[in-house]
Amino acid sequence: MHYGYDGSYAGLLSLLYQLFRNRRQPANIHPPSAAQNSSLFPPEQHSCEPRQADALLIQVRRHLGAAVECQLRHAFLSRRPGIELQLYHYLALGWRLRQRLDDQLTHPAVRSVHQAARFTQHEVHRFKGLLRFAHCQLADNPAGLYYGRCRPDADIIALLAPHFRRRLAGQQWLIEDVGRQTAILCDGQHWALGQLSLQQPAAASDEELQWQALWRTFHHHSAIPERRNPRLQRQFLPLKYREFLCELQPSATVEPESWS
Amino acid sequence: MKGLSLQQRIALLAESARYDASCSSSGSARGGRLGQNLPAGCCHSWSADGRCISLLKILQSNHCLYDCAYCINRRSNDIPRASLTPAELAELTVNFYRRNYIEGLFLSSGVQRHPDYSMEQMLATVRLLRQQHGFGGYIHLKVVPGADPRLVAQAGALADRVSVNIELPSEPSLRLLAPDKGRDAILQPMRQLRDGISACQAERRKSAKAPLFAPGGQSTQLIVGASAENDWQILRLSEALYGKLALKRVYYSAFVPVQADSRLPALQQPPLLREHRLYQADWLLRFYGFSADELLDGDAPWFDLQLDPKACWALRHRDFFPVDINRADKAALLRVPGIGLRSAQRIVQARRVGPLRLDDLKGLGVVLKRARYFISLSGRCPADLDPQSARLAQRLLPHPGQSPPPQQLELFSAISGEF
Repeated sequence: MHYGYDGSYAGLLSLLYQLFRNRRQPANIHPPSAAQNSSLFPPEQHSCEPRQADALLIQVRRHLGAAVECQLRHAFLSRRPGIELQLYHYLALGWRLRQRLDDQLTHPAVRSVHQAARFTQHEVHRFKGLLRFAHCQLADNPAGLYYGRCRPDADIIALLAPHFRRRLAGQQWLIEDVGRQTAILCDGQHWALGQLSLQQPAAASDEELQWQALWRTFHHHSAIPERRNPRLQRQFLPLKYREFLCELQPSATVEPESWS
Repeated sequence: MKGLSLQQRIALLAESARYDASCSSSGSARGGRLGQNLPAGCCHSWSADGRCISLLKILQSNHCLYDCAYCINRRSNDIPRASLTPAELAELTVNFYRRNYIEGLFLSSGVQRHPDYSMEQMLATVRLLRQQHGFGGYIHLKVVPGADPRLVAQAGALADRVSVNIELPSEPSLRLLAPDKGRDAILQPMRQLRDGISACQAERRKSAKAPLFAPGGQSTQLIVGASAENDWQILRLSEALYGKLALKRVYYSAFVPVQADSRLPALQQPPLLREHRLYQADWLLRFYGFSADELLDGDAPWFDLQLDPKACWALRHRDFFPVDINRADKAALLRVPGIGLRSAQRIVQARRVGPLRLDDLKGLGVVLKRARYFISLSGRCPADLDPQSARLAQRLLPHPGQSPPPQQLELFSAISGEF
């Protein structure tokens, strides 16, 4: 049997709750966009029931442990195709093994979920370093807003938010996931996640451009010419992560005027 | 300093600071009005030489009284000189931090007028950051050899990590190449910092409110290839530094000739591969339970540039192998080439639920290409060669025509720059 859900984490959890409760075994579980393509087996749609999602998480915490709950969420946020069914198999194994589930490192159901969770965690850590904020002036807010864009593979901005809220306490910021068109807005204390559409592109102030120029200068001059090694640089910092890094934009000029 | 714009001074002072290898931002969980450290550290960018940038690594000033032969900032080197004021540096750090360019500041300085004067300038910057801006991000502060112990104590109280660079691995080299720095001027502050750090750790075990003193520990740097010491001497020095001075890290910096000098070797290329081998051995000392004398000795004091130190040790100690994956303890697993810290941990965890097979190992992160010759699974060796075979060394070498051996440190995890 094929099942469809609304694409949200709570939606998947409530579907899984139903499946385990009614002892059904899914052939596949489809997020909304994929479901439309497979018209041969029209999936049975389930709507999101937050109370069922909560009930499932309570069972997970009680019988499988808090670490498994963490693995579930992070693996889901990797948004890898097929992750939904993998999570079903992971939990199905978990109800048998209980607290010893995460020791089964060589079991395919456990391994695939761990890998997906690790992928997400890795990307979260990467973007804690790679996200760049630019200070933008706003008409209705003299303090302005620090605006950061990213295009991660996993759906990580909700996992980044607590980090930047603590780190940039009191600072207003907006983090946009350009690919998914979602964003998190933080007023310095509280943050909220939502869809984002900009009516006009955000403009950086002159002062902002000066700080960027200083950063590019620093970045350029901290490389030792005798050790130049672009291959190694690319290994650590693949091209796909450079889109919003102001210090690595090819058009950028980095040389300050000569001082002779 | 007159006439140079801020941008020009940043360029100069970044160039003057870039030969320091350390860039880690780990080991501290401090937070403040602005800023919150990640105890694992975090890389923010990578420069064109492939080294990570996690801190704003810059000098307060590149004016220097000393004339150390290896250093770009030596008195007799004809380069433009510049300084940044504490206010400029604090402003720069905070603005870079708010834009998430950096994890914090790594501040060092040339010796202007007197070591105490340079130290006071740097402390003024850090105090401004901590007290006025409420900055809780990472600060790595260099201690100038010969500075007053009271200033060293203040450095420890304000910074997350402190370091004194030894630079040259022996006293004769120090006398030859850095005649202005004495051995004791370097070791004295290191001992003081060690005592300060351990006293603070003891205090904090009693009360979580006890003041911090360099929570990220202290580190140092050795230049490789500027003087005649062999790898064995360098590694033994590192071992002593970790053991006796409780250092968190020793960094190795392949010597880059910045100016011709008759006292220095004429190198075509910085010895990057040698630096890489030293880092590999350093990891073996700190995490894998090896000692310096196991890896090298008086008869073979140099690392093999073809093979990594762990594989070399394995080839010299063949009766230690094969190691039984399903029975051996973790310390024995860690000695197998191709098994690292994480895969050893996973093996120990996964075999609790049942014996492991060869197919399982790959998923646990074991590099079978190397490990297969040194392991056994339930009494059977998976490779066609046994550990005693004479052809084994040949198998472990990189094949000709394959990608060249790594030129630079790749052991650093791409995530954090440090474990």
